[in-house]
Amino acid sequence: MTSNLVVYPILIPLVAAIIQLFFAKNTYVQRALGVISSALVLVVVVYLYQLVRIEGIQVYEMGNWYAPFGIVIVADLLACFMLFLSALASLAMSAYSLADIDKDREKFFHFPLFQLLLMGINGAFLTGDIFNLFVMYEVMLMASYVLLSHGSEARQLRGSLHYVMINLFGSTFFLFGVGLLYGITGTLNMADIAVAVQTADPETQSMLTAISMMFFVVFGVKTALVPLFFWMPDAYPQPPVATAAMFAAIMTKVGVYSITRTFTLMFPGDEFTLTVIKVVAVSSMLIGVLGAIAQTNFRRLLAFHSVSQVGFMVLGVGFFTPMGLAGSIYFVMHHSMIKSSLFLCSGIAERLTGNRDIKKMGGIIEGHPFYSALFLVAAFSLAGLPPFSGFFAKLILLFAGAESQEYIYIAAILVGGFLTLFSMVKIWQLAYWGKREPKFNTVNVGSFVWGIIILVGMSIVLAIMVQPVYDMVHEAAEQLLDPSQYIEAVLTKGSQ
Amino acid sequence: MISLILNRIARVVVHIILLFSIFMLFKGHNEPGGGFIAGLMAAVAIVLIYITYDLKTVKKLMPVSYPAMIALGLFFAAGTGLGGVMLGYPFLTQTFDYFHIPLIGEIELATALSFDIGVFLVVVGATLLIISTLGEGSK
Amino acid sequence: MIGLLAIIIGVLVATGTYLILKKTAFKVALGMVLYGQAANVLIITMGGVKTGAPPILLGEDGIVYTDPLVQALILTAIVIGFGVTSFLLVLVYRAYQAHDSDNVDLFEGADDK
Repeated sequence: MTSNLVVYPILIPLVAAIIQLFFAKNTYVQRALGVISSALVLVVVVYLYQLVRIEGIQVYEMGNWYAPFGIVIVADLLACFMLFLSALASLAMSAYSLADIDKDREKFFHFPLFQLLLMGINGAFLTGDIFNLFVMYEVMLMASYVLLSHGSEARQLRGSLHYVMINLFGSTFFLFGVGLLYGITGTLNMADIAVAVQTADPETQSMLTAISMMFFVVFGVKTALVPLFFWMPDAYPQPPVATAAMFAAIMTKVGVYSITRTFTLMFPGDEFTLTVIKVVAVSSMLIGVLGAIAQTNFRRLLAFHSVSQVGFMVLGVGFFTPMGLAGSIYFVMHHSMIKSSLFLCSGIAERLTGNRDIKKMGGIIEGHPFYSALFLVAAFSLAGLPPFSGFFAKLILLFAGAESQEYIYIAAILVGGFLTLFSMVKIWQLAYWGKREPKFNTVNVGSFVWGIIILVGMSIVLAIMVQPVYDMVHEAAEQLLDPSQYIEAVLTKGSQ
Repeated sequence: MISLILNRIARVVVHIILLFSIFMLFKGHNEPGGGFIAGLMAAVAIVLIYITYDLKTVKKLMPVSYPAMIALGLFFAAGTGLGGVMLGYPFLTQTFDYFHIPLIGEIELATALSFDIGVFLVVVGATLLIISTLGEGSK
Repeated sequence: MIGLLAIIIGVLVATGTYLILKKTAFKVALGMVLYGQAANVLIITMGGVKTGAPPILLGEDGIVYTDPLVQALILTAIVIGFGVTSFLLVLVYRAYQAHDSDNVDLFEGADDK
């Protein structure tokens, strides 16, 4: 029997949410619990990572039912990285929420919902059962629906409706996929499915490819890949900034994680699938960034960038080499830190200028040099300028592309990076540089920047420690490309 | 306006539905039934009150905060799972035993029951929350 | 029987698709509900449609058991669908109240000024 450690990243937020619900009136307790829970998860994850590195993949049997009959919780290196990111982001968001969330939302259970969101996300990273993945997605999505739409004014409703409907559609598709997969393989345990797919006869192979594409569509909806991204720029400008940042930082990454897991473990890529993935990734990359250039709403612009950046990560999966996957994981880490800090920056800018349109901002640097510098670091990092983390993330992907001699994709990465730089410079010039707009609100920026400092600081650490971090993600990538480790860990436990 | 027929029938039927929902709740471990279905049934009984009278009556009859009810339910459900963790078993491990209770006799009590009670409370609370949100909006 | 169920799934999906393409928010929500039902029927079909004994091992040979897993899956899916659908309906209702119309085209977005 393994220790209960593996399940704690799911349990801690759940317990925190329940306690917070009991203290519905006392928001101080709720705030404190939010920060404590995120910090605890962070500690647990670091410890879990050590455990996975030393003892191999950790498997935990819920309710003492062994695989493939019971639901298993599996922690491998990739899951640990993702958990680390979600804990880090939620810690930063909790710190930011302390100053940001208004009274009205507090009363509407903002903090418990945030913890439930965290629980769903962590559950999705850890679960080893495809139906349980669906359930965790739903936990996450339910929380996100409410976080996105509650307290919504009339003009926010369209975005919320879009978001709920398209995700409900995606979930239904998920159910279709799970149903068909169960009909063919007769199991829901991911490791068991992997075995069944390997040994499937050639006739069912085409059916399995179709199902794998169905899953790709489902996860593509959640990740907002082209052509399934239209909900995202509508949805992200609405909720409080901390929530939007959490969505951008982690929720899209859940989709990337699921794509990685699906196409390394269950349906290890054949030529056709990988080509589809790569083409979709490149079109996201370019269309997303072109969309971003056209925008002047700060948050919509960032949302379009998310579409573009997700393309880079999925492209790494499409290369299907240790280096490509390592680049993808490194990119995920870099992006979840940088994109969430950019969202937080946009929140401060909105507060300062009382406006969301970057054309109507201007001269923020005057009076707030430190905060503006933080934005600049994050923006340059997103654009991939050396010596920031975005540069190394793209560099690894470029090397991976060169290694598998896919020069078209290399060109796409370079073009995408260049256009990103262009639109980041646009924000900088319009909003931060230039002439100061006369009517500025006075905002105590100091109470907001803590979250941004944590995130940008971590991304700088990521850039400085690039070699050790690369070794770590490379190890995770090799583990992913050798699914027999995962299968063995899950399936042999029960027979003991 | 309150319909006389509906009014008279509801007064009787609500009790029957509630009683049956509790029966379903306890039966659920080994036979068809369970927390979710029982919770929905109890919620239906309350919806009947809402249709017959109005939201005020519902609030008067059940002067509890619905979110607190959901919280309590979640507490029961999660507590069942955590109990196993504290005793060194994996999360959600269930157990059962036989007890002798005066007047009722030998019965089997499983920890799954407390999980079911939790689900029951969550479902009732959530349904009432939805109804009251919709109901308040229409006034 | 399987053929019949396949036709039912097809009809449900077709109707759902038709409704989802409508401009009325409430009809779109209904389409979503139909989609969910189609998924549930699909899952139960995948478990194999047969008349079997309850899936409890009694030590006798040659008994055909029904598949309990698909039923558990559908129950879970129904519960989740129940929650999401009711939330969606509340949202549609709110939108209707705010705009005095059910037409999605008339809803304001966050950026229309």
